[in-house]
Amino acid sequence: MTNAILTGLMLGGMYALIAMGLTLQYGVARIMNLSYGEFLIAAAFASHWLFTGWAISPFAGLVLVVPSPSC
Amino acid sequence: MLYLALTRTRAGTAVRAVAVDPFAAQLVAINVPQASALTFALGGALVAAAGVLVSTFLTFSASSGVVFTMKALIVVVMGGVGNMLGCMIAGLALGLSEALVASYVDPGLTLAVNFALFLAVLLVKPAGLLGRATR
Repeated sequence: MTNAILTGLMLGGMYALIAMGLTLQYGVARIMNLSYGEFLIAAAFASHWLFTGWAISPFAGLVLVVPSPSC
Repeated sequence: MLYLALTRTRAGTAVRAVAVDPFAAQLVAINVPQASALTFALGGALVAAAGVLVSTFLTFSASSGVVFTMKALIVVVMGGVGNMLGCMIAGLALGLSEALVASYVDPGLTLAVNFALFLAVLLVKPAGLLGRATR
């Protein structure tokens, strides 16, 4: 039971983080970004390539990947 | 931290003012296109952070972005559009219900229970959990 609740909290936190970005984009900028999931997967791929190609840990790679959608 | 930035700083208050009413925000000398662009970039930065964190424990492929877009859209509309606290509550509720159904009923029903909860919330409160029906 506690296993399910903890998994649920983690999953819910992940959904909340992902949705917070879309809330900002749609609620304020009024832009319905339907390619939002693709941004997520692109960031995940970038982090994977940094890790397998240059052995940069994902948390250190955060510094490089996070400013990238703003260009 | 983002909540503090949005409520205590001047730029954060400008962003929230544009969220409430873009036309009135223009009247009080807030540069609306600039605030919109800044917020779009901020949303993009958030999703990049989420993507990096997701890559540490989830197997993903090039075509698995559609499911994330769908779930993010459900959470945004369910929490009330433009409302950060509602979005957080909706995300947590959806994640909890999905995990509970996956472990006690049937692992194949996760998407179904997501949409069922979304439908139930919209039937009771059409503007989302914490949303205002201003449009």
